[in-house]
Amino acid sequence: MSMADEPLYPIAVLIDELKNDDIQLRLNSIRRLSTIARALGEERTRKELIPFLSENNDDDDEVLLAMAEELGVFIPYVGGIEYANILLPPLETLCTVEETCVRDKAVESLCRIGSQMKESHLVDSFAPLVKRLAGGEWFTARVSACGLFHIAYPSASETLKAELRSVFSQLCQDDMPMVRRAAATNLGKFAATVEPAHLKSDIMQIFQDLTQDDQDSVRLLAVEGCAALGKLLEPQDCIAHILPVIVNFSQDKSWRVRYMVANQLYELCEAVGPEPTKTDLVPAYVRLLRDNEAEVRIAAAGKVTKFSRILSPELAIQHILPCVKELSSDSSQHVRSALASVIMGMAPVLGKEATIEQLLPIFLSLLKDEFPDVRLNIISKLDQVNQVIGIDLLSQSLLPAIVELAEDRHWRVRLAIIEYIPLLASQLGVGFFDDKLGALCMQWLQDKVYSIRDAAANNLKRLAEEFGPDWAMQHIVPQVLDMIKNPHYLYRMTVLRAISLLAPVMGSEITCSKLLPVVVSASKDRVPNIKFNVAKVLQSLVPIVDHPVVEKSIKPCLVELAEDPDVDVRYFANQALQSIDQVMMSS
Amino acid sequence: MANPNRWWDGNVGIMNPMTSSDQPPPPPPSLHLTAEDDKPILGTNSNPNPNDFDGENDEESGGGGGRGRRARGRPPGSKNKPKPPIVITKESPNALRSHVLEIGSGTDISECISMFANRIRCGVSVLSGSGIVTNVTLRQPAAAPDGGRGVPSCLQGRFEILSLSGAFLPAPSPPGATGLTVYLAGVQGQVLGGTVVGPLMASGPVMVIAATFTNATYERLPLEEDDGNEVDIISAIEFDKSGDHLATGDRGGRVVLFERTDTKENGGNRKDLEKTDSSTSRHPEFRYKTEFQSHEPEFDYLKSLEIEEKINKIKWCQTANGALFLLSTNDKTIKFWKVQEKKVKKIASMNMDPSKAAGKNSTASSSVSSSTNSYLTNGDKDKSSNNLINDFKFPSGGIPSLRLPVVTYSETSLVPRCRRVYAHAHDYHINSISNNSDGETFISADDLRINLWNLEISNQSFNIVDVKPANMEDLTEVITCAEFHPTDCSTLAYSSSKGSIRLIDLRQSALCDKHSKLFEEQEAPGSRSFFTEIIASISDIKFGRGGRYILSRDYMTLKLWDINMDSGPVSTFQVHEYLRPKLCDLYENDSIFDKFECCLSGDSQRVATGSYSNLFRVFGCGPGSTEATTLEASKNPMRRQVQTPSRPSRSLSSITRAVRRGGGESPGVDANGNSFDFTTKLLHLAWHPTENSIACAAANSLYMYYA
Repeated sequence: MSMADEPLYPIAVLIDELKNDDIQLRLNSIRRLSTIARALGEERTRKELIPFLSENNDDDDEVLLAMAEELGVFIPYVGGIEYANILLPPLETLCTVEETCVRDKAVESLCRIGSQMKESHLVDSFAPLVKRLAGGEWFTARVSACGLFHIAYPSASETLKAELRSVFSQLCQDDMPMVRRAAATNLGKFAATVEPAHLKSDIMQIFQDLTQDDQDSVRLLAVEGCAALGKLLEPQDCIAHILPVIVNFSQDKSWRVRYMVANQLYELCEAVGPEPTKTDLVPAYVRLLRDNEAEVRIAAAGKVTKFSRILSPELAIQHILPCVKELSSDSSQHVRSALASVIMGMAPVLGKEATIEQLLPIFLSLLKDEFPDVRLNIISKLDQVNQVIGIDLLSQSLLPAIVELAEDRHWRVRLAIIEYIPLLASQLGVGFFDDKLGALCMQWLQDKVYSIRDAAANNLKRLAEEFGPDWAMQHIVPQVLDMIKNPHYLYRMTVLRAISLLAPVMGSEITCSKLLPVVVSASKDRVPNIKFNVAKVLQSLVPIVDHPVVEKSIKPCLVELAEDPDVDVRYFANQALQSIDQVMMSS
Repeated sequence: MANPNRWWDGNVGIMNPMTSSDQPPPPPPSLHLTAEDDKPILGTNSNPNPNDFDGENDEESGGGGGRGRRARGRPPGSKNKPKPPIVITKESPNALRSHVLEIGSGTDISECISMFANRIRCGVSVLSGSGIVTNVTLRQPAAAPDGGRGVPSCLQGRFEILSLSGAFLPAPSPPGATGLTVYLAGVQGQVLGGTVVGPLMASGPVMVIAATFTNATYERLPLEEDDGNEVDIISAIEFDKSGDHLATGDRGGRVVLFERTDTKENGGNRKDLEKTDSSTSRHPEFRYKTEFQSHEPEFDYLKSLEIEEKINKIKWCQTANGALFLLSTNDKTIKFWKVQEKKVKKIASMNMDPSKAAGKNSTASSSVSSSTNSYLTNGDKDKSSNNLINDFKFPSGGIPSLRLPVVTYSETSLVPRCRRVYAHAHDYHINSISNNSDGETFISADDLRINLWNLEISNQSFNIVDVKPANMEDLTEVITCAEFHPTDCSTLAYSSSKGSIRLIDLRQSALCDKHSKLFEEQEAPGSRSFFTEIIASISDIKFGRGGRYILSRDYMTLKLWDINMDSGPVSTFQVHEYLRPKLCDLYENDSIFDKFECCLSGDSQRVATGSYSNLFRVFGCGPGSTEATTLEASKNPMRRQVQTPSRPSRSLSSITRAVRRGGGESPGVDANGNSFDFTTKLLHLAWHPTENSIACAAANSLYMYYA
């Protein structure tokens, strides 16, 4: 071969590496299969590369996974839609491998190709492939087959359709639970393509069988199918066929099944309409809210707001609210936490009166919960309730809760509450904030944990944005600047950080008159860390202040720092000086 | 637990489950299979088949067989490059292969051979050499004044090789394993010798006779006598669902697979095999299939604990695509293994001539592997070649000169691969694992907790049973064994050290601290002694096939329970009642804590368990059956009727299939049945799922018995 010096060399290497001993190289080659295909041309890709890949199914799973992915977008390289069926054989073999993620990817790629294929190809190549896989000796092939029916079905002839339906129903009765699970997972997708007449007869029969499967894992997936099927059926059919099933499921012996129902139930309400919702689904949901398994209650509590939105306010007050009250004092903290994260959303649903009367006591008790997550979840959604009843009613309880969270032992809890302070500030208003929370914000600047100090500095900036520079000048700046006298250098550094964040918000005038002198005086600090941070801050201040100020205060200070004995200080000072020069040059 | 259980929540997509670690091909089978003639003592039902356990021909194809043959002669474009050695290869795995290496003039002999060893990834043992060399640098230890490390001395001039010997191992090799020693004759007839430390330049062609080998095992000598045998002791044994495969695990962390050979000849697909299998009365014959190192000894630095490599349990998983899957566990870590036949591929043609590419790069590695480095260092793509490709305009018809590599497959070899590792979930020692009938989950139990796993997800498990008291001083009871119901996916049973079995319904609650049923036998009043609690501890439980019966083994008895009857066991079998007076001795030498396993036959009509002196006992548990047989697992089996004067109605005839591993003879056993050897105990045994045959492990030997 004489191509070593030609530009083909890398491609030749790439092709050779399809069979290299090093898996990383094979993987790399497979990822660039499109390049190889372009180099070979469309015809040779069809005649050589694709058959080559079909035989290449003995490889490591990582390589097979990459191959399954590449082949999904390979239609342009084999000559367009005309030749799309060429790609099926290699993907078919990939559909039978043992590794689940490879199979899933191959099925995904097959679906992608199938959805672009010509109808004749679908009938001639795709449908037989589905049947072959469905009749495969090993369960892996049959599992893959389940995910392909919805592509093959629409374009099939009447007889073929009947056959596909019967093949699918066989898969739903397979010996292997894995196959039945795959069938249950894909039932909704397949059902969406089936004609309404068959939907009622064949598919409903399959569905009935799956709901009575003796493997819990199959039944749970059937629950997921409920909502999907419900949306496909006419309301009266849905009431006749799906509703009894879901009501049954809501009383299933297995808590995992009930858990799934709790998650899915609200979706079904839309499908069945208001009357059956009232008579059947609300009682079922109430049962789930009072389930004796905490996991089920967690799932149900998390859907309280979504479910209430579907109901009329009267129904919600009558049936759901009593349960919510019970849940707010549930023995499991996770249940209370799930409830707290959604309960604020109920306020707009119930309206002002009911909220004040019924919900407010619950909010207040959750705000006093011993578990910080519960309190945080309430505080994070404060804006929703504020729109309905205003914050004044809550503020009495809010403050102790915030203070307690602000002083929590766990710094992550403190961090979480800091993140919500700007939200609180905007909801509570300046007056309330000044009285109660201002001191807390300053206290965080002196926290022992760096992340808290950093978040506190950021918080000051966001507060300044919220309430404006004038307010900040009065309530933040003096206190912050006062802290520069702190004997510990880490706290002095926090001040510098806060200054650099506040400066852009405060504007040129205040920066020059108040902030800059403090920074300049800090350049005389005895700790080098402070000094080079001064250099950094000064650099960040340059764009904010006017040119004369830079020349008069900032530059001399930096020049002095540039001759510091400490190497880091000199480095950052010089950096700052350079950037000043650049700014000056450009302006 | 801030994160509540969510594993049932539909299909969890895991992005990259490729946690497999590549295992080197296993060393050649160290298993030694001996043929034994049957010696039926009582003459009933003797086995007509001669033992044909000639498993030694079972040659594993080694890793070295798959290398492509290199082209002969000088590659084009490398005129001034010294000739690479000509290799004459012959495929014969796991044997020494002889080579004549011709080393071109002007090249360094030792560098050439070392390169060759690395290229073909084989060890090279240099046997002899002849030819002329110049400018040799040797180290002569004796010449060193300090008597320690010799000073290298450089010898100028031409020398003739008298003798050349040494060995090279492909990288990475243990230090000191590689080296070359040479004797040289000088022009005046003087003889020099030493270890080659610098270049050994060939002047004129040098011929070297060498042997290559693969799979050299690294041994540290002297062998510690005890350990040498200890690691071979079988610690787990399990049939797969079809009964076509048998796996054993040992203390050395190895898993050995055996395959049934007597059904294979029939041909046809699996289902046919099953049918013919049950109709014929052939005895199952197993032969060595493969073995692999499942666990290595580890050290837990946080707890300063050594983690033994001993395999505690093996469980088979669902077979797929002809590959075998199994779970194996030691005290802490569970591993999911896949054993698959892989074709050994050989690349027959490529675009780039590897030898030419070597010329281009003038380094030891080919261009292919040198681009490896650049790919790796740049993350995943080589930028320069990448740009080159992207800028290049491809003609519409493609480039005809490019070819796809042609691959030929010659032979197949069994490749075990570890697919997943389920680690860091147990604070205490794992005593059992068990698969669920849903095919996607399994449990693992340690002394205090039972965890539930999804086979596909190795980084997450869910605690379903926790018996740890708030204060460890209140601990009175530990979990000794746990098993899933064979068909009902939501039921599992676990046994405790207090002799109770609890049945759990997973549907009831996410945390199953409350049992749904409790099986316990009330102790007879007045019989209480110091040992009562110790011997009540259940060492193993097994569900019968239908799931209705549970068999449990405590120190003295086997008990069969009906899960519909929680008042007491259906039947109790005394295993070795004659030991009751000796409990004190057994306590003193710790034998009382031995954990015997038990098993049920496929039809649940018989139960079996082990005892001391390599004995095991089989009881009939059908209605009205009084069968009780004692069998000895040894090369010269002898039926023993101990104490119970039973009338064997239809009993197992004992025919051995002795499969012994490396170690010596098991110590002789006194045949009178009175003095018992507590060191030879038969702890592990398994009943074939469909046939009347039992595999049992005595120390390092595996025996198969069938009726």
